[in-house]
Amino acid sequence: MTTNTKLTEKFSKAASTNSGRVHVVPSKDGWAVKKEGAKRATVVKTTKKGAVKAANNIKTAVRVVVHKKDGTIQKNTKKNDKS
Amino acid sequence: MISPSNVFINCPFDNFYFPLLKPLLFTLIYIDLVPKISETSDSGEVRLLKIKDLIAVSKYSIHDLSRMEPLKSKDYPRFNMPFECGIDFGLRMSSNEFEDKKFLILEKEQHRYQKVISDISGNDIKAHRNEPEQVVKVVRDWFKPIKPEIPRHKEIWLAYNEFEFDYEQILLEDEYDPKDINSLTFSDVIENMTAWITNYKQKNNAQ
Repeated sequence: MTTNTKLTEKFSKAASTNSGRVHVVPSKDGWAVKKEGAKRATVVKTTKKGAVKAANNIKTAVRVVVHKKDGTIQKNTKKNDKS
Repeated sequence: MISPSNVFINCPFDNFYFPLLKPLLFTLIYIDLVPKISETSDSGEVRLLKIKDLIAVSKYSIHDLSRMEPLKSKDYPRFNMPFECGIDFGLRMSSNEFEDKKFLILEKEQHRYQKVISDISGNDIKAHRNEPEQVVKVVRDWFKPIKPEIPRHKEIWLAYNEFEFDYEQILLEDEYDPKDINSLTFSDVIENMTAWITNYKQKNNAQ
C-alpha cells in the first residue's frame, strides 16, 4: 500500500486528467448523462436505460461509467460494450 | 480561536452511513469550508476532549441525528450523536464567544425529532431521507444565505459522482476496500478529497 502523500498525488492526477469517460448519474429528475469535467449534465433521461443509451451515443465518449443511486459504481465499460 | 470556515461534524461512524458521510464532506470542501471530524481511533476521554476542542474552533456544526436507533434489533440505541449535540449547545450557551455558532441538524424524516428530542425544536432541522444527493442539497442550501456565491447542488452532486469513481478506482488499486469507512483515516479522506476538488476546479476553470 502507498503512503497518503502518494495517494493524494493519485487523486490530484485523477481530477486533472480527462479520460473521455461519460458518467450516468442518479438525479432528482431521473438519470443524468455527464461528460467528465463538465459542470452540467449533457442530458437527463427519465430511465437509467435511456441515459446509458444516450451516453453511448456521445461521440467523444471512450468509456461509460454507470452509477448506483448512492453514487457508487455499478459498471465501468468501454463505449457500446453490451456486457 | 473560532473560525468561520470550520464545520464540526457529528455523525455515526459506520459503513451504513459512509455513503452519506462522503457527500457531506465533499459538499463542505467544494464550497470552501473545512470539515472538522473526530477520528474514531481515539478512545474515551481523549476523544471527548478532542471533540470539545473541535466544537470550540468551529463556527458551524452539522449534527446528524438520523441514526440514533440500534443498527441491529438486539443492539442498544446510539447516544453519541445527541450527546455531542448537547455538548455543542452547552458550549454555545456558555459564553459570548460562542453565541454566534450556527447548527444544522440532519434527520432522516422531517418531524421525527419531535418525538425523540423535542428540546431542539426551533433549530434548523433538515431531512436527508438517507439519500446522498439530498445530503448535498440540504447542506448546500443551508450555507447559501451565508455564502451566496456557492454553486448549485446539481454541480456539486455531479462532481461528487465523478470523485466517487476515482475514489473507488484508486483505493482498489492500492488494495483498500472503498466501502469500508476504516480504510483511510478521516484526515486522509479529507486531504484526498481536497486535492481532488482543487484540481477538478482548476481543470474546469481552464476549459
